[in-house]
Amino acid sequence: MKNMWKYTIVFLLILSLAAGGLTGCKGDGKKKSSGKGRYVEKDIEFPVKEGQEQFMSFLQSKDGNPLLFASNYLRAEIARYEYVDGKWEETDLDWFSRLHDEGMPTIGKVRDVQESDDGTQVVIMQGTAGTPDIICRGKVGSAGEILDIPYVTEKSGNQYMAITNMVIDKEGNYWMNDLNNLKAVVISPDTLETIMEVDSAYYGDVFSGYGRLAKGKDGSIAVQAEDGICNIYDAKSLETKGKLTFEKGEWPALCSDGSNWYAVSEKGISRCQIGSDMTEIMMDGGMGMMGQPKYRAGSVIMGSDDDFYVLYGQNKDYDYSLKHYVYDPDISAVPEKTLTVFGLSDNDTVRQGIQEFQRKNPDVRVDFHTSGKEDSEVTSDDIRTLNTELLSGNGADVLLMDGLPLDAYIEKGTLADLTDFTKELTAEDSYLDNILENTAQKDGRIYALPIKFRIPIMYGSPEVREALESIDSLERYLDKKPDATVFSFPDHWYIRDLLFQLYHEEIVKTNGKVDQKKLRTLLELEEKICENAGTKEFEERNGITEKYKDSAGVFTSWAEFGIIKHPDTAETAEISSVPGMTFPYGIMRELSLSPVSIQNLYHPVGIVGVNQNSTQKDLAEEFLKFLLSEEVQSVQQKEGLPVLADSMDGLKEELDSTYMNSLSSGWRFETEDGEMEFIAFGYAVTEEELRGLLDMSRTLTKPLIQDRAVWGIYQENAEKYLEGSIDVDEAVETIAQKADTYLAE
Amino acid sequence: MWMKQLRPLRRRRIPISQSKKTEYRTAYLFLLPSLLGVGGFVFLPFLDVFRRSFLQASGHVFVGFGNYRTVLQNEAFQRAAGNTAKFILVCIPLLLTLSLSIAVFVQQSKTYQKLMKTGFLLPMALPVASVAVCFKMIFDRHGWLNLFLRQFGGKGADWLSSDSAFWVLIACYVWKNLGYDMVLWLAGLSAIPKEQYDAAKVQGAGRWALFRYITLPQLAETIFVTGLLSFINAFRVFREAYLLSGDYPDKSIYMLQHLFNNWFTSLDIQKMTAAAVMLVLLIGGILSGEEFWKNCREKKEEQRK
Repeated sequence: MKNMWKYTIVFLLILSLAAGGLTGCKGDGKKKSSGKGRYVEKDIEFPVKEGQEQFMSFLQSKDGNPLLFASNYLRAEIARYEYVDGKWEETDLDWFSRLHDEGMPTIGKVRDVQESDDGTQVVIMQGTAGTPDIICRGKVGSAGEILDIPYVTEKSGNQYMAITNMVIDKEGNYWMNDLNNLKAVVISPDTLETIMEVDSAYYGDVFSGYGRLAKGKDGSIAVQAEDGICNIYDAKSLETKGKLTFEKGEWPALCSDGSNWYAVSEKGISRCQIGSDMTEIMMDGGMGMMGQPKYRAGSVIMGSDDDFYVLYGQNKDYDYSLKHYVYDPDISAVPEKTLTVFGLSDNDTVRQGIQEFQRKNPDVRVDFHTSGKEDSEVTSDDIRTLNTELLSGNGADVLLMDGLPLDAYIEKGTLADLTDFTKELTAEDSYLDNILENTAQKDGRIYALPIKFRIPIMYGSPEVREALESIDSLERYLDKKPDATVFSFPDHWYIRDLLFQLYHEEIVKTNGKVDQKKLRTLLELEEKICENAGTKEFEERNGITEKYKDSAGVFTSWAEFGIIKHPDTAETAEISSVPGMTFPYGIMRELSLSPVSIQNLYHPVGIVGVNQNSTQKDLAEEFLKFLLSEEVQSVQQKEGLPVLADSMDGLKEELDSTYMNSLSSGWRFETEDGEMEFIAFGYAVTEEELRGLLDMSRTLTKPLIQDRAVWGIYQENAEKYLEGSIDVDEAVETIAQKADTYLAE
Repeated sequence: MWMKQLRPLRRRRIPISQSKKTEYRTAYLFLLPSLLGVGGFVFLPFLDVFRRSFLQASGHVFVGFGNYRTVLQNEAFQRAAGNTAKFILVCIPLLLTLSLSIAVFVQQSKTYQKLMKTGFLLPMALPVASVAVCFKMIFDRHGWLNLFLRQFGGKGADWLSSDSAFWVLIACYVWKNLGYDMVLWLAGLSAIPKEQYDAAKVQGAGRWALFRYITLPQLAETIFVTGLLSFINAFRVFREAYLLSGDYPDKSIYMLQHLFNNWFTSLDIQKMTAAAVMLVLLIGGILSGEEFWKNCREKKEEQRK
């Protein structure tokens, strides 16, 4: 009996161990065949005229068509666009222009435009300082009127209400969001009195901090009462019908067909019902634009065929896109193939490429994973996490090598050989071979390709440019001119990083040792320049912190415009787009200067490699080919210039755009006298300047790929030295010792 | 005559009783789940490590002992191994001595004994990250120690970025693990019969004589266990060092684990596995040597009896 107990206990222990061990085992990887039919995403032309009009609102006309309003930047005009049978029909709100001509005070501050079922438009305009918002209404072809709504025109406490957006229900009542009081108020269209007030939550995003209001086809109105909860009201009785529950932070765009509500958020398109926590995901967010972190769904309307029209906005750039989601019964419900892409940081071009690639290849799903951090926040822990996945065979099929130790990955055979792939690619189309082939090559073989690149340039006094060629020449220059600032209005982080980038090869030798003498000279020169330029006082006066460097990079200083006041200095910039040329080239034009490349350097962005152990190498290469195709390369993203030669030539078309011609910029800063100074430009890049840049791009041969470990060691200790915590000997010794250890590894 | 005195070359098998056999069987059965776990999650992966140590980084090309040669010649490895050995040789005797002294003191205290035990054990309960943050706040160049020194006209120093980083790490490690060793000593001390002390005191033995002739000899087994556990634990000091100073600390505290960590980041798996195998062989050798020495000592004592 005693033995039976022992055997039983041992058996149970073995069983629990086995169960624990086996739960980590993967399945055999075979997918069961899935059913047919799912939603697919299609593009719809966004009719708002770029550079002329500003998007206002997206709603549904009484005929059930998508309806969009846009206001003109410069004139008192509001355009109405209705999408009928695949085309946008434009109408101007003539009553609005007439009202303005008759003396209506504000222009260009239209917040929202809505249309009732009888075709009456209601326009909300932000009041000027100390005046209430202006709300007016009218019909096309009729006269308009300014509404004297007591709730809007009377102050509450010391301030007027801030009406941000509204919807008009089936009864014609106006539901308006009051941002100041976090309420939604219901206003009678006839008496203009307040019928009801309910709680409304505020969410700050590209849609200008609107509270969410949505209208259902049955007349219900949804009001987002708080994060995660939406109250549904019956338009006739104004009573609460119930609520919809979402995840905190989701803030979906909503619409209803009368029986169900549909939410569009990062999760995808979901169907939900009043009073139930359960939602049914009709379309996975990963298959559409809603799954991309930089986009947010602002409005959604439901078509007549269970299809959806969704308006998206980008927080950073206020760009808008329209997508149409249609159910396709013939394609498989779940894409048969999944391609995984991994990058430490996000990449707009890759995101855009994924969207287009999925549309062209409906049987492929592309999962893009990132560490979720900005470039400057990525640590070696993130790299180790990736390495763990790679070594265990779970690594992504496609790797974005930005920020990763490219040389190590090539050396260890982690990346597939793309030499033949590149040869085929360059045989079909014309690429900037110098950019493609020099980025990630070893022993004549190519292991990764950049999808975009940037060009670092230098401009300014020829004497200073010559001095910056080497540490010795800079030292001689400062010996000759001990008070020289070298740069116009530099901050110390700019000096610290730029000079190390320029002299990196002099300091870190090919034998893997740090030249301590040169490093010492460099640090002392940095300190001298900082002292001459008064960087500490300049930073304090203007509240500059290192944070700006997260997006600026090594070659951009906080105050590059300063060369206008100090033409005997030099400046650098990194050109990543045509709009990005405007400021530095504007300055160069003022001073009759020309740019030169910095050590033939180019900065590759989006360096894409294929995992050697990927089981879908062909698909991965197809995806890479797509990223390098004209379709992706010709879309001008701010992160870099295209590597496809035709797309580079296509940049010329951007020069003539209204947007480029309307660009102007200004900079305000505090001088050493305590005065506020303002420098302003209004300019456009010329074709000759662009051609010069394109010619320069063909001569660049050296990729700028920073060794994260060496840079980290240098920056940490140079910072301590420049702020005075340690002396130059300590700084040199520490940097040399740590860098030597790293290089010795 | 001398032939009769020759011992037989083959060892005689001593028959085991049935009850002993049953006892062994039961013991192995209870050990089986743990053995399977250790085998599956430690031993088998180590076999893979051993295999990879003879291959190139990509894992496809056999290079023989090339990786071992590369590692032994690697400057960073030499530095790290030297620092690790130095740390162990300094830290363990210090830790053992201090913890033994405290254990003796605590055991002999009549008042506040429980409070003292709790006080010394408390650092063990703290997460390593919290301990590291605390030490960083004290010894950082902007830390409390420098602030204190400057108050009295001193200059202060960057304690964590100079040779003093080694002693900061020792202090951090000893402070964190003192309580653990103290508990082990206390267990050993409590096994020594009090009557022996009483008898010795009657005979005129002083404190030192009591410690030297009664306490120490009877703590031999405890010394072995405590020393062994401290030796194995000492390799975990990487956590403190990493949290105090990151991937590339001052050269005085650049340990083997830093090197392994960094090799993993740069996918130098071939070097990592070769160094790991050598480390296992070294530690295994030391433990085997200790075991052999212990067995020899026990046999001598048995023969004396």
